[in-house]
Amino acid sequence: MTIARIIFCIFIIICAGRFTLANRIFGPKKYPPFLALALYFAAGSVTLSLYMILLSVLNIKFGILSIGLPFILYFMFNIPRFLSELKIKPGIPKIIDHGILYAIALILLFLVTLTLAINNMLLPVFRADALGGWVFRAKVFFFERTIPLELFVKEIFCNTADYPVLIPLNLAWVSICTGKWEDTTVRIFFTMQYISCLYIFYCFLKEHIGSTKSLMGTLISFTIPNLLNNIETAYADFSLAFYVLLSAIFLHKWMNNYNDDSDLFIAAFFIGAAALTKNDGIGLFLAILITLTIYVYRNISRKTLSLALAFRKLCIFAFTSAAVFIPYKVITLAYGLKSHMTPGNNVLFQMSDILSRLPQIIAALSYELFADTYFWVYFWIYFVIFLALSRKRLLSNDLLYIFLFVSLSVAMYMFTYLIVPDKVFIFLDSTVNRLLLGLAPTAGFLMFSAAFCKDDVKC
Amino acid sequence: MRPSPQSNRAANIAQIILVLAFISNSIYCLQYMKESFDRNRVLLKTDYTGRQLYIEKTFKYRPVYQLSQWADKAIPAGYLLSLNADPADYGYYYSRLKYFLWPKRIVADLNIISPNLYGKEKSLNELASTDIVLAIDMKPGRISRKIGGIYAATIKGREYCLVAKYGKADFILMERSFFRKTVLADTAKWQAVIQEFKVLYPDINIKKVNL
Repeated sequence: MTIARIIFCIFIIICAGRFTLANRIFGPKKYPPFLALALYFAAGSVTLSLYMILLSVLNIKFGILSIGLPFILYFMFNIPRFLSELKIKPGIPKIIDHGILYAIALILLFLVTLTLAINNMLLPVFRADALGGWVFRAKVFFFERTIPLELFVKEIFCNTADYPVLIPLNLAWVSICTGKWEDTTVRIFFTMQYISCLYIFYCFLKEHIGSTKSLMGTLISFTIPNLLNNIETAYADFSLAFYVLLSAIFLHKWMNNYNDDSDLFIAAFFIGAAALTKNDGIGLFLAILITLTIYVYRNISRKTLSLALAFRKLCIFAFTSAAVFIPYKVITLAYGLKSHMTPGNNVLFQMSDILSRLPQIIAALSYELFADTYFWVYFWIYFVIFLALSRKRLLSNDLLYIFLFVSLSVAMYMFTYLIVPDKVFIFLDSTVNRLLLGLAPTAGFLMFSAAFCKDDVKC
Repeated sequence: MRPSPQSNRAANIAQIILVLAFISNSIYCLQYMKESFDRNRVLLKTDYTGRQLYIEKTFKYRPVYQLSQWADKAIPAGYLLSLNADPADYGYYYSRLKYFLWPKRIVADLNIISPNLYGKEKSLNELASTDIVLAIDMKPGRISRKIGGIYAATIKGREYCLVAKYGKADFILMERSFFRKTVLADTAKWQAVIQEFKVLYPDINIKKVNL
């Protein structure tokens, strides 16, 4: 019975995703069935949480019907389209045709995913941030059947009151469907995100570098210890990484054909989702907005884009993203919710010791990137080597902007460390590996695309 | 256009790095699966409580899950429970206890014994609205100065249950004289708490402390 309820829960998320991506604004596109499902799951988790925020504002209690009904109706009116889109070609894929490395990578990825799923089902939530924030919020939403902002004001989340709610709302939705609170069951959501993320990564990377290298790249990027550990501990950093990757992929797709704005809308939607996942996402939103501004500025200089059109594209991006994460931000501001990361009056004082903080920050980042093999194996070392080997290709195509985005994001993190109100070493110690995780899948996509881009493909 | 010898060499190096990276991550995958398998073999044989206890033991966490179960049983329903823990243990105690006890009990944030990690200090009035204080893992000296000196006078007549770590003992139940005699008037009740604790946790070494 629980399995049927979980399938229903995922089905509603997928319906919400199709409702989002298959509309005119996002420009409905034909994706292969499994890729479409993965994208719908990603978009659906965002739409569902926005809808739950709306229900909460309207004072409508969360329930299977109040949340699920609109999407069930949407499905019923679109059954033929759903079925035609998700028609799977019969036949067994010939794995061995791709070579032995492909087969090994596929088997390993399958086994790792299975192990992760079992771990998520068996391990109770035990890490501090999940218990104090992400999963605890979901538990509160489940029992209260709303977002109880009055309780937030009373500081049950004393140091994390203004944290975004995308992940907790989705976890709450899983438990609403199963009808009981089980912190092992709700984590099916993270498993689904992992499967969706690696499949989307593989499919879009395959367009650039072919099947075998793409699958090898997927294995290298998605079996990072830090990433697997983060999913198992029910933190939100991998979810952030998921939405950031999607935004970067669609922004890159849009750059290859900037006359069609549908990919720009999707990129904006997902970076907005990143900002609704974690507050760090706002910094990443700014980083990608700056990247886009530089891109349109260069195109204006080359006279391939008019000023008016460039402004329109920037507005599309900024307003679409803002529409996703600003409403909840406004609510938290209206209730005066803050967290320990909210810069207070002491920011100016903090600015005075920038010089003393900078070496600590650089040392911590360098260690994390190049010496912490326990968390990363050698992921960031590969990143540097691959980009160094493909620097000419990187400088001559639009992947440069993804690189710029990753670099700006790291710079944004460094800036945040400079102004955090508390002692910086506390945050460096516990957050550097998680912040970098938010960029890891995007960095993986970038390095493999840059290093192995096929000659006949525009990367 | 034919690729230059340099770009050919770069492509070859990239291929080699890709294979090396693939091998090193594959080795990690096998290690990850083995570790997970070993752990899951144990976890599969037990229930949720058993899994929490296994994790607390494996990851050397303080036994907060046990504490939450004990607090749930030993403290009468309807009491507002607040927690005083050392700021360094915030993640260990406060978050976990709050999570485990929700929604049966509300654990208020009252880190006023020592300066809060995040610079927040709550007023004594807030503490006064709390029925029971669980003071965990505090150094006895610090408690004697702060709780004994301030709380006892402020919230006279309230019931306190104090659990602390001291020396080699895992937990210590502080006896009532520690709080001044006015705080815990009912000795029998206090002794009952100690007895219940002993039954629940026979392995935990309980000492009486006379400061």
